[in-house]
Amino acid sequence: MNDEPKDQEFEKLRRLLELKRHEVPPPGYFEDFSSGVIARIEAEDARPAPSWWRRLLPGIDTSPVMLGAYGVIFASLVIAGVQLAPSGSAPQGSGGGPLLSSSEPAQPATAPEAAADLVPEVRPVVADADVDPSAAGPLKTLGNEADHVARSAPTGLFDPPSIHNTSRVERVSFPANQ
Amino acid sequence: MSGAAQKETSKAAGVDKPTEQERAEERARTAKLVDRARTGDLAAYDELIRTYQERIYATLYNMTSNHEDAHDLTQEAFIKAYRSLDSFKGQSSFYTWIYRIAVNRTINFLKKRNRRVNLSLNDMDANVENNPELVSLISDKTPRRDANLTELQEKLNEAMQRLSESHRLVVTLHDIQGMSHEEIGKIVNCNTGTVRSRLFYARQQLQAHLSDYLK
Repeated sequence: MNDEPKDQEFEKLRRLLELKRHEVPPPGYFEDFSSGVIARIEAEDARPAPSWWRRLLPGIDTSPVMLGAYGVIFASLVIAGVQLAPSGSAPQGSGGGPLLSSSEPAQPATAPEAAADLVPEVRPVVADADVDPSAAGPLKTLGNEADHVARSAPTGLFDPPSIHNTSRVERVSFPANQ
Repeated sequence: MSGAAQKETSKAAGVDKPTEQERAEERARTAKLVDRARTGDLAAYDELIRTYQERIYATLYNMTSNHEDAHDLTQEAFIKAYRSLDSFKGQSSFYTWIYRIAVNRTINFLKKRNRRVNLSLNDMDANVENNPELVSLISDKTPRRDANLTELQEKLNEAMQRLSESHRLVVTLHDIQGMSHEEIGKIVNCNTGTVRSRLFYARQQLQAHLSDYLK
């Protein structure tokens, strides 16, 4: 046979490797081994089936290289998401900061105040008794302009409030007997 | 060659290998147990585990040089095999099939394991004292035999762990477990030429690592 010279060359090694056949687990180890396997199978059968993503997890490679790759992919998705998201109409000259009335000192708004700024204020339109009807035209501008600018409410929760001076012009009605 | 004659030849070679007839009986018995286990009969599967547990454990122990790892991997291999019984078509023997599952899981485990190997070695059985070849090998080299038997065991396992997984597997299956090249080829899924070349290279490596003990 071709292997005979090679086998003779490794004869001492083969005898040395035989030593490993004598490395055995403690006595009685195999008597309980199969019952341990069966118990694990029964325990798994009794457990409710895991959800699809839990079954997926063991298949994911958790080596450092793959974890780094997952991180890069996740970061790329976040950046792409931010760039592709519909951007709101940013106010010109505001610098993206909070909008404040020019007549009021800059103070941090408390939570209820901030919420109130988001909701359009309902102001009843009434005829001012002190107004001289002859001095006033049929149209009247309501309120302080600066105050009105600050209070212009956004249309949506996350839309920036518009600072355009959109003074409301409303028609004022006068009693017929004046 | 008749079954009895074949068995005599095997015994003369120092290895008690089963005859063809015994193998056929074993295959038929295993096939029945597999069919029963497929239907959820855990008693049948328990019998299958008892048939193969020592051989599978020994292979995985020699691959890992760690009793706890070998224990866990052997248990997991049997559980995985039970869950996959439906995919066992009988094209190879159950023995080869379950060996493949155990070996593949172990190689994956070893690739993920830290490079630093923690040896957790089993004790030598009492029969080591009755093996004249081993006694002469040890006593030639070591005046204090008990102390140096442990040292030799550690060096041997360290040398095994320095081999690649594929080379360690071939040495384990052939030189320790006593499998033929053909059987190893079926388990490892390669031809016998590849098995022989891997075995030759692995032995060369081992011989270099253990040169102090082979003079």
